[in-house]
Amino acid sequence: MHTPHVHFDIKEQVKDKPENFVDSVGHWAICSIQNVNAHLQFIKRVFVALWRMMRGHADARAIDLLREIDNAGPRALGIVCLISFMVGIIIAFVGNMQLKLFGAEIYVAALVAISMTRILGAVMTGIIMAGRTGASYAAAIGSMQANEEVDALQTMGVSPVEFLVLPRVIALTITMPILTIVADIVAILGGMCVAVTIMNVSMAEYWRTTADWITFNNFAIGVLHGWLFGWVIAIIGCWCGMRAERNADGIGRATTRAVVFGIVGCVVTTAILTLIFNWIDI
Amino acid sequence: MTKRKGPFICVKNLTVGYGDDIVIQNVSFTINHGDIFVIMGMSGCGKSTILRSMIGLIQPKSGQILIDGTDIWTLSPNARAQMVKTFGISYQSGALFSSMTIGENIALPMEMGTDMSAKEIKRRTHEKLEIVGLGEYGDLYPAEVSGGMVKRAALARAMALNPQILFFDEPSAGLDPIRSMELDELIKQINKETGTTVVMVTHELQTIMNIATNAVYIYNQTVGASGAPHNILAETKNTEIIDFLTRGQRRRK
Repeated sequence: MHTPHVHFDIKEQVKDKPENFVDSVGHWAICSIQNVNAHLQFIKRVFVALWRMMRGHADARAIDLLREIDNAGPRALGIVCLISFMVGIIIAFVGNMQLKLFGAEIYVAALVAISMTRILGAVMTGIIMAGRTGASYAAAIGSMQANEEVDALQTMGVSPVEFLVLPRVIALTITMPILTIVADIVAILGGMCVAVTIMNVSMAEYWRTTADWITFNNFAIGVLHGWLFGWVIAIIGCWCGMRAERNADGIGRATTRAVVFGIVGCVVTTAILTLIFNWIDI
Repeated sequence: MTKRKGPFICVKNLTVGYGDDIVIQNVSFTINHGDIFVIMGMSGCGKSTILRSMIGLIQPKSGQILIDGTDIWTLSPNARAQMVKTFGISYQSGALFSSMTIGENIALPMEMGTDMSAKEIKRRTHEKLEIVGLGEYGDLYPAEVSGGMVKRAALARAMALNPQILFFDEPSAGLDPIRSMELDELIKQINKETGTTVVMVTHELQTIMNIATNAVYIYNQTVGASGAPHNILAETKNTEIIDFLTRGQRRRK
């Protein structure tokens, strides 16, 4: 059985403490390059693990995958719905302030529908999941490092990447697109509440306008964002956990890093996708 | 298991460190088949580092770790992983997976590392639980049992694949003297009944004196003394070792 050794810590590789400004810059540059390299190695291992799983050779258990799907899906629905509903309300309120100047209140439905389905639904879900699930991945795997559970797996001949990382990555990449769709729907409902109660727009009119303005492209782009955010958040969360120092402080830092890098990862992914879709005119 | 005699594990001129820092230097010792061998010394002397090298977790800077004549660090990573998989290892914290029951923890090495049927795994899991006196606790989670029970469950998991060598890192850390003594007796009994070679890292004097057949004392990054604990005490002139083995009593006299 193939069991790669887990060695993601770059601290051992850069030993000398910088003595002056030039040294510090050099030290930072070397650390950054090594860090990026180690992260790329980790991503490669995740994909190798995925390939092994597809061939039925991975050290992963179906029960762990189901548990992770439950954790990253149904259990996250409440917070995703709450935040999305609020965001729908906010967009509708802010949109109404401007659109009523032109007597175009009904286009609040279009504003909520397009913004949420194309990007905001996925981005809001990504931010929530980075704070919720990405952080929990880092904390759980970091604690397992501190508790020697990762060592135990390795010495049992079980790959920690296949056993711990793979189920989490697959779970989040399955649940994120679904959560994104739910977030879109709930935000549209939030916008509708505002439109119906404050702007005197009928429910039927709101739905009709929403249906008119939602395009397949916008919807698909939103779901694609969600799917990619699932990869980004899960890989960053697990990576931060895997290289956590073996103490409480280290686990705290790993969790913070997972949230910060997870959110940054989502925003950078959005920026790249926006540029690409703008370039190919979708 | 047929009981063999003679040298089983040879550690030769082992030097291990982290980055530029050397933790232990030129450590050599031999462990015979069926020994209960203790690596002892003060906290932070590098005992666990030696053990981690022996179980394939830290690559030595130099030296050899020969197990049944094979240097584990000259093997390919996959071959080394295969070899290490045959060891039974009990970690200081127990290292049980909190999301699994005690029974599932014990079954895991069999489930992941062998082609045993589910029925056979269940049977062997129950057998191991009985050996360590946890027959009725297999369905509980590690958080639901005491520290002593976690240690015994970790021992049961280490024995899951009937290993030839059992490694223990501070097995009685965090246990009261009674539980610690019970665990020592259990290890002694397993060693006696199965002939399993035991390698243990500890600084618990009670454990050392009770069960060790041979030992090394790590002093100043290397082997300060070796032999049976009582012989070490009789022969050494090193005051730290004398203090360690007599809890400072002899020097006070």
